[in-house]
Amino acid sequence: MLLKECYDSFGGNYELMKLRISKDEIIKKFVIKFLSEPSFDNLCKALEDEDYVKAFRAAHSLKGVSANLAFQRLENSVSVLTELLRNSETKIIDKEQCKKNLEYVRKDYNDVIEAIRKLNET
Amino acid sequence: MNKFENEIQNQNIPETEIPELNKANIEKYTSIINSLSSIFDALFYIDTERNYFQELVISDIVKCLKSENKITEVSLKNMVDILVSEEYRAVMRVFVDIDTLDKRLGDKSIIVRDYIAFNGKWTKCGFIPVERNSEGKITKVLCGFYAVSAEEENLGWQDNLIKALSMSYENIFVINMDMHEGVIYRMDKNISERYGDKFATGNYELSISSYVENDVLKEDRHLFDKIRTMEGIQQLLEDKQRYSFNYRVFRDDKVHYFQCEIVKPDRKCNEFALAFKDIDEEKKQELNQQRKLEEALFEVEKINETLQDEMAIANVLSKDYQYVVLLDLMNDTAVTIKKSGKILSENERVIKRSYKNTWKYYIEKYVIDEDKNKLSDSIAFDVVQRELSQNNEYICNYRACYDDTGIHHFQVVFFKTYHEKMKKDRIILGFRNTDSIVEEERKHTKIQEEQLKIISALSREYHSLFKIEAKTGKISLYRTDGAGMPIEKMQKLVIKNTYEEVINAYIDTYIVPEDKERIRESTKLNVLIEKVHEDNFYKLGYKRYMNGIYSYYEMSVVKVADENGNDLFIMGLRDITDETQRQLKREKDSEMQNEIIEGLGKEYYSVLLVDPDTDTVTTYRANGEDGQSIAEHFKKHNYCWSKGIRSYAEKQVSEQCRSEFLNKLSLERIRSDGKDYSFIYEKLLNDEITYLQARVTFVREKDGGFVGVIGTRNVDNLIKKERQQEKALQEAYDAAEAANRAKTDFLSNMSHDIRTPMNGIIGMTAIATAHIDDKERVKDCLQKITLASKHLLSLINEVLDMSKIESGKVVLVEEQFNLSDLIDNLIAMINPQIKKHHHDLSVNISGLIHEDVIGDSLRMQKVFTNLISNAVKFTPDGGKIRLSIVERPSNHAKVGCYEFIFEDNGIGMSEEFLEHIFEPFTRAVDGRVNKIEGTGLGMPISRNIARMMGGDITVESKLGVGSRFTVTVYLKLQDTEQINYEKFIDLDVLVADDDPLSLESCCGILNDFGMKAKGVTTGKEAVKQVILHHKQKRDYYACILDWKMPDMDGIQTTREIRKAVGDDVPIIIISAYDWSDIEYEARAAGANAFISKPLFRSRMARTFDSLLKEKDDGDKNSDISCEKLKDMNFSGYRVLLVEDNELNAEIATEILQMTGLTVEYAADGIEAVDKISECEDGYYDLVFMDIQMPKMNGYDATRAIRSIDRDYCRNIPIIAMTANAFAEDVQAAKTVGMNEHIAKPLDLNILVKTLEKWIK
Repeated sequence: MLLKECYDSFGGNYELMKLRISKDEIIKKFVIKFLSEPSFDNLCKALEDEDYVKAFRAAHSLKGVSANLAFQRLENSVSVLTELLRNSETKIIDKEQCKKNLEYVRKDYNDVIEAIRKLNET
Repeated sequence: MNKFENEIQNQNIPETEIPELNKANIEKYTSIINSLSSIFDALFYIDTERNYFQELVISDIVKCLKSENKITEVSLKNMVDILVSEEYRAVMRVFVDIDTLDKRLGDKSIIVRDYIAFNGKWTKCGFIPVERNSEGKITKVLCGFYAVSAEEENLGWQDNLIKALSMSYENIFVINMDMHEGVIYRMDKNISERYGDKFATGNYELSISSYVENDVLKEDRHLFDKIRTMEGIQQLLEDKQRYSFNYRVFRDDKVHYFQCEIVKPDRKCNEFALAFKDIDEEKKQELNQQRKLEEALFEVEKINETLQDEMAIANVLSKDYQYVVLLDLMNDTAVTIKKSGKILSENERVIKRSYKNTWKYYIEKYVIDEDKNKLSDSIAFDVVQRELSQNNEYICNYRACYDDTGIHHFQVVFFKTYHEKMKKDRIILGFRNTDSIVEEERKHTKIQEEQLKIISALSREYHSLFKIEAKTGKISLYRTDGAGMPIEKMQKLVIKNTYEEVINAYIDTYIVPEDKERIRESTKLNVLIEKVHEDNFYKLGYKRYMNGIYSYYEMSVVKVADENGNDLFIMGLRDITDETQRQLKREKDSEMQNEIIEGLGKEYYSVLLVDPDTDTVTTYRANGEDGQSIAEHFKKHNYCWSKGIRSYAEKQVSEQCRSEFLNKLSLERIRSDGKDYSFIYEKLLNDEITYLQARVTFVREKDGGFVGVIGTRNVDNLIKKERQQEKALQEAYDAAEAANRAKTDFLSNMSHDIRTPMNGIIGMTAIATAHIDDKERVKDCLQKITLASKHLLSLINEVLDMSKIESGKVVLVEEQFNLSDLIDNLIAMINPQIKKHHHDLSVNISGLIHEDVIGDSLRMQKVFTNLISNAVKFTPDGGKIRLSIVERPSNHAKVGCYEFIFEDNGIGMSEEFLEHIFEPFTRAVDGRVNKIEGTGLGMPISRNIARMMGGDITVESKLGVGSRFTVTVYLKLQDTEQINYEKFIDLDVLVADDDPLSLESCCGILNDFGMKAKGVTTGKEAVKQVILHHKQKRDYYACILDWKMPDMDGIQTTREIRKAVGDDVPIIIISAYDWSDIEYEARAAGANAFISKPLFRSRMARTFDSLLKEKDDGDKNSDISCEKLKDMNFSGYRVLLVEDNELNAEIATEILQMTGLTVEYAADGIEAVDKISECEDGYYDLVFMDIQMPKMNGYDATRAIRSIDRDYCRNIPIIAMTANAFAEDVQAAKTVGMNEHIAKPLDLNILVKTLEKWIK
């Protein structure tokens, strides 16, 4: 599977990433490293435990990584969730919305993981 | 010694004629017999040939019997008769039959048969063949008997079974299914007589068939079908172990009942037992019993009937029937059994005859006329019968009069009974007085009517009505029109549940949350019982939510009583949304009303409410003197509106406004309730006019009427303002008129000025033509023409300038230039004049700090030229002219404030003149000076320019002393960027200018820069050259084209070049003229820049510099691709990257490393602070700090770093990396001491720019 195909399959922006790092091998290296990125799992767990501060941090982290790797679709959905979780010390978190959004994130995240796995195999 | 031996010894052996059976032979058999005798109780030796029978061992029993002389003949058959019990006799006889023995023995060495002996013991009888003849026929056989001991009685299944069966069955056969053979176990006398042999040895199927054919009753023969064949039995006994049925046998002309049973204990077993017996007796008994039972039942029924009879009567009697009669319809008799409330005894019972007549008599005598016919019809016999056929009772009501007590209500009740014994109908009549009952009923009916009225009244309005029994809580639906809830749904709801459940279901489903509890509490059954009485309506209002719509509902509960006097609640639900809404609206309206009045009240010092219907006025508000006075005024007139308003108009309103005033505030007008309106009137007070405004508005009252609200306020100021505005407008208009006039004047003047040189030119031309051969003359003329045309040109230019400035079309050019250069040029230009007039010019630019500025140098030059030439002009020869430049401090770091001071000791200007000096078209008319040439536009233009540059020109002058002009302008300071002339080296530049001098000077400048300038004199050449170089792949770096060239001008050349080689080559147009004239066209043609002549080096340099920059920058965004990045070499620098996410950090590091940076990494704030505090000064050149981090975030880390008491830590550039510049506080970043922030994800260009900014 080509790197571009991989990116396309989960709504990533390959061209944008190329602008940042021109060498495909390096991009691929980082993309594969994403598999071991723990932020998503941390996010899920934190939400389960209703630790919203942690959840926010995890979401923020995930957003950053997604943006860095030009995983635009994932970045967008995580962004929404990040905002929902912001300032949990001073405002009440809408649990339902968070749950709903987590599912969108999950879907996009799984698309990414799947594609990267396929990439890794080829 | 065994028995046999005993016998032998005892010489008990009877005499025998058998020779063999002498002592010698006995030995032969001894062994056999020995062994046998241990088994058998009795043993016999039988010679079948000779039919000889010899006892060998005699059992005790036999002995016994013999001694008793019971055994007369010793033969087996005899034995059987004596020893075998009756049931088994037949079987055994067959068994011991010698003739068939052979066959039965077959090859077997022994055959045994069990039977019950006469003493009830199971005994075995066996035959053992001893000798056979040559044909195989048995000649000698032994027969033995022995009683089976208790243990041995545990026989095989067969035996058990047989035992079981034999208790009840007289005939038992065991049939072997494989061999189709049957063995008789028992046979009763009859059967054995008829079938003995057949059954025993015959084929089962045959046997059974013959039995069936012969004995079984025809009708019952089919019952045997199943068991006629082996297969049949097999099938039958597949699942069952036994199968039995009853059948009838026809014998001796009599029918006997028999029962047949087939048993197979085990499926695997291949034998079954067939048994049948006579059950006549049993049957008889059964029938007997049945009969007895029926008889008993019959008796019981009879008793029951009698009982019923009595009961009915008792029933009737028990009620307060004064009179009870028993009708015997068959005999048409009537027996009175109760009279006048007293039960009559048997004797006392009177029998009357004729039902009809009795009634007739009664009706005639006692019943009132009205009811006579009705009752007659009702009690007609057939009617009664019909009624009673459907019901148990039949009631007729009537009124009768017995005595003076008047008419009473009576009731006759017919009861029906059937007398079984007598098998006829009996009817009982009861009579009773129902006065009280009727009364009750009437009352009841009345109440019910009332209730019905209530209910129907309710049901009209109410969508649903429910009936709730107060005691039981049982709820039923009285009616519903299905509004809201569909009928079926409501019915279902009500039917299935109790009141509590229903009401709670309703509350939970349909009532909005805020009303739920209140309604729940109020509708509890006990609450209803407590609060709802007969005379009140218990109402509850609530909001209902159904199918997405909110509506207001009212629940009303009323208490009524049912027929039995039980309390009933009728609950009705109705929709009151409309009502509520109307109510709400009304409330809102009145609220608004108040607000309106309040609103008015604030602005208006007087607010009056006028009721047009009653012609009264109420003071709502009276503020201040004015307000009070109005209030007072109306008070005086007893608050009558029409009167008051009239008098007010007379007294206070100016004449011209009076009629309008009265019109607008008349009662009629107010009554008409139109839209709001207002008007202004003049209040006249002591000849002073004040403008007041009255505003009339209408407000609706709760009861539907309306009231006029009149507010009055002082609008004097408003009016006055308006007047002022008008005035201003008028003035402006006048000014415009004046300006226009001035312009017209100017133009008329102008035309004179233009015409003069024009005339001059024409004149000169004419003269020249006339003296064409006079070279000198012509030369002179031409000179004069040149001068004049130049003058004309400048005139025209100035005029155009002026108009442009006025119309705002002038746009200041922004270019970089050097002030000192500017001044140099200025001086150079004016020097000839200075020399001519022998003036002393001194220039002082020492006050100039920033020489390099950005602005419109050309125009500034114009201004300066203007001023300095004025100075020269208006100073007598040998005068002093001084020019100084002072740089003043400016507020803005990037802008400089400059003062250019032109001083002279010339003739000066009068004060009067000074007033108009900047006015267009003003020219000094002064004899001292020669006819001043000039348009009179110089000063205004100059001032405009100065003003456009943010400054001004001020003049100080004294007649005869001198003048000082101060030009103040603001100029942008150039960036500290220096022009890198290095870039210019070896650049190929093409210059096209038709003027050789100009061309030379331009090329010279370029060559000075180090460029390689190629000059051409025509546009065509230029194009040619460009194409040539393009083909050679040595494109010119830039082209400089003069605008004004013959044949192909600069713009056209530009177009051609662009057509040939595209947009890559920058084209600079140079011209003596103003760029703005041709800017649009030039740019459209594809020119990039413009330099005006004279070509100053600086200008040239600047233009090229910016051109180069643009080219280098490439795209608009000036992106730096990765390749270029390598050129941006940051190797040798070290940065600290602080980022908690590993992957992010890796990517960032990767990108940063591409620039040659050394990157160190800290995973959170604490680490970062540690690293910085511990490292030596200058170790890190910059810190990239993420904000959102665990343990210690970016802000805190920065704060911590900044607080370290080291200059290095205080100053090290810390760049924040934020994903979201809004959310994360930009301010916070600044506060803690961060230098800048860049967005995440990292953008290469920005990154490099940042690095460049902070590191280098």
